[in-house]
Amino acid sequence: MRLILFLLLTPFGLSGQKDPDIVWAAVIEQDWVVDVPSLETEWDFGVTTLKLLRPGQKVPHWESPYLVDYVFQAIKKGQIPIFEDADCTIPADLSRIYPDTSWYVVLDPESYKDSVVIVAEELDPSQIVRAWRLRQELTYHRKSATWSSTVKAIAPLVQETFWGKDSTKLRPWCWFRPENKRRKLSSRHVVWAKETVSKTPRTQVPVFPEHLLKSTAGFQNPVRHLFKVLETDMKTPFYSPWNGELLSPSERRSMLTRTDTTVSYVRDIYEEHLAITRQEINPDSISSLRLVQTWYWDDRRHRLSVCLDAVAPMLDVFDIMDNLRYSKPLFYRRAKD
Amino acid sequence: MRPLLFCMLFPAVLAGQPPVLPERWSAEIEQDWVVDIPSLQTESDSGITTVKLLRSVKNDYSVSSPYLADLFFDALVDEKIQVFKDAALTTPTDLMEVYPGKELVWTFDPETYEEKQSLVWVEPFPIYDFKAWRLRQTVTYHRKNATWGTKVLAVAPLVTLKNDRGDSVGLRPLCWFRPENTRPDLRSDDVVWAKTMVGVQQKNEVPVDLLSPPENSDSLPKLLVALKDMAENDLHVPLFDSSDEHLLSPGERSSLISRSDAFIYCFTEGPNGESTGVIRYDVLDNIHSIRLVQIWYWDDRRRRLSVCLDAVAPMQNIFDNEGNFRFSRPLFYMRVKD
Repeated sequence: MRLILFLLLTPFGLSGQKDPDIVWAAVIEQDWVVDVPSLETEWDFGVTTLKLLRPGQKVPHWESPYLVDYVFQAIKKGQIPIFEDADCTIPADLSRIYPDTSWYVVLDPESYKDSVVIVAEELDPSQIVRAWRLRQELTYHRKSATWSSTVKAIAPLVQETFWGKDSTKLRPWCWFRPENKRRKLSSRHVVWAKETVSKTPRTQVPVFPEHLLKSTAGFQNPVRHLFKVLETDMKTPFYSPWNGELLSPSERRSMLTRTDTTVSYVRDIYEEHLAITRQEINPDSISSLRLVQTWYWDDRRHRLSVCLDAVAPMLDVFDIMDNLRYSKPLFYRRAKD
Repeated sequence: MRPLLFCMLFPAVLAGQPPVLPERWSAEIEQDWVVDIPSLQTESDSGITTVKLLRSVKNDYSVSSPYLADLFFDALVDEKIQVFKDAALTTPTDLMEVYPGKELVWTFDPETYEEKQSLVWVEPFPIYDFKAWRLRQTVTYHRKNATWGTKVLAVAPLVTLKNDRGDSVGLRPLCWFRPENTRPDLRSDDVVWAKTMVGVQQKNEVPVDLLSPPENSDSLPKLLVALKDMAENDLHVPLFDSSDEHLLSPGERSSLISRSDAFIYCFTEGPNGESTGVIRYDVLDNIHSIRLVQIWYWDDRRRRLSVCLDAVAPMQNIFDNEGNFRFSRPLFYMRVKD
C-alpha cells in the first residue's frame, strides 16, 4: 500500500513546484561567450579554462580547443539530438539548419539571363557561432539556504543580419539538452572544462526575473532569507568573495552593514568633523545574483554538463553623486552537490 | 706487400666514396623557445599546441596558473627545484641570488640636476619577466636503426639583459635547472601542463651544418646523405608526409627523394631561341635544417619539467621559378618510438 502511495505521489514530489522546501524558482536565460581563444581575455568575460586535453599521440594544429567544434562534430554524427525549440520538443533537421550548399543567382553576360547556381559550402562553426544561450531553472531551498540549478536546454547562437536594415541579432541555431551531472575534472574523457562567473550584463541573473515559476509568500526576494541566515545561523557556511575563505561570525555580521566616512565642515569655527556612519544593507537593494558554474565536455559520451558551484548576491556601489560605479559580490553561498 | 699497398691506397679509395656517418652520431644544440603564449590561436602560429592544461581550483576566485613560468617559479619559491648558475649545472644558486627583487635605477633630481643611482624593489612577475626558455640538449641519430633521440641537459628561463643605463640589450639565462627526459603519462592528474613544440620559431631551427659539418666544402653533410640513403633503401623505417599524418608509400618516398623536377624553359642561342629540358636536382641541396617536434610536460606533484622527442623532419627549402626562396617545409617526418 505504501509503495503504491509512493508511486502515486512521486510525480508531484519530483516537480519542484510541489516541494515545500523550494520556496522560489525561476527560468533564467544567459548568453555566454565561452570560446575565447586567449586565456587572458577570457577572464574579462568571466570565463576560466580549467581543463583542455588533446590526448592524441600527435596533435594536428586543426584539432580544435573550442566547445563549438566538439558539439558540432557530435551533432553531425548524430550523437546529440537537436531541437528547434527551447523546450526540446520539435526535432531539428541538421541539413535544414546547417545547409552544406548555398545558392547564388548569376547573370549570363551573353543572354542577359539570370540563373541559379548551387554550390557546396563548408561552414566553419567556430566562425559563425558567437555565443551560447543557456536556459536553466534556478531554485532556492529554504531549509539549507542554498541555490540549485537544472539546465534545461542550450543553444549555439548565430548572428542574423537583416538585409537593408544594417542591423543584426543573435538567434539560436538549434537547441539540445545538456546534463546537470557534475563530472570528475581529472577524468580522461573530460577534454574541455571551463568555469563561468556571471560578470557581464548578459549573464547576470535578476533577483526578480520575468519568468518566475514559484514564489512562496515571504520569499518573493530570497536574498532577504539568505541575509537572515548569514546573520543568525553560524552553522551555515558562507565564503568570502576575495579569497574564498570561510567567513567568521564577526565578518558575517559586519558584511551586512555599509560603513561610510563623512566629512563635514563647520564654517564658524573653521573645523572639519569626521563622522563614521553605519547603515544596514537593505536586501531589497540587491537586484542581481552572480552564478558560478562549471561546464564540462565529455568526449566519450559526447555530452555537455553544466553544474552550479556557487551563488553571490551582487551589491551595487554608487559614488557620492549617486552614479552607479560597479557591482561587487557580497559573499558566496556554495551550491550543494 | 698487399696489405701495405691497401693501406697506402685506402685513403684514395675513400675519397671517391660518399661520406659515411658514424654508427651513433650526436651533437649538442641550444634552442630558445617562447612557450607561454596566452592565445591558443597565436600559439599555433609559433609551432606550439597545448596538449593538456589542468588547473586546480583553489577557491571561487583563484585557480592555478596556466603558464610554465608561474609553475616553475612556484617550485623555485618552495625550494622544490635545484637551480644552478651555469648550463653545466655545476654551481648551485638560489632564488634570492638569481631573483633578488632589487634593481638599480637611475633617477634625476630636478633641483640639483644630478643623476643618481637608487635601489628599488621589483616584484617578481614570472609570466612577464621570463621572455623565453633556453633548452640545451644533445640530438642523437642511430644510423643502424634509423632512430632519433634527444637528451635535454639543462633548461633556463631567459630574462631581459640590461646595460648599466637600464636599457634592454638582449636576453640572459636567469638560472639553469635539470629537466627530465622520461615521458610521463599524459593522463596522470600530476601532469597539469603539456605542450607540443614544433620547431617553427626562428630561434629553434637546427641548422644541418651545425649538426654535421661537411669534411670539405664540396661534400654534403654526412647526416643528410645517411638520411637520404635510409629513405631510399630502408623501407622498413616508416616515414610520414610533410603534415606528419600519412605514412608514405615506397613510391612516394622514391619520388620525394629522387625528384627530377620540372620541365624548364630556357633561352638559348639556337635558331628557335628556346628549348625545354629537365633539371635533375639532388633534394639534399635544399636541406639546411632539421625540425624537432618535442613535448614539454610539467608534473606539478614532483615539480619537474620533462622534455621528450616525438618526431624529426629534415626541412626542405622551396624556391619559385625565379629562384627566390619562398618557404621551407618538412621533406618527411620520422617519428620516435617510445
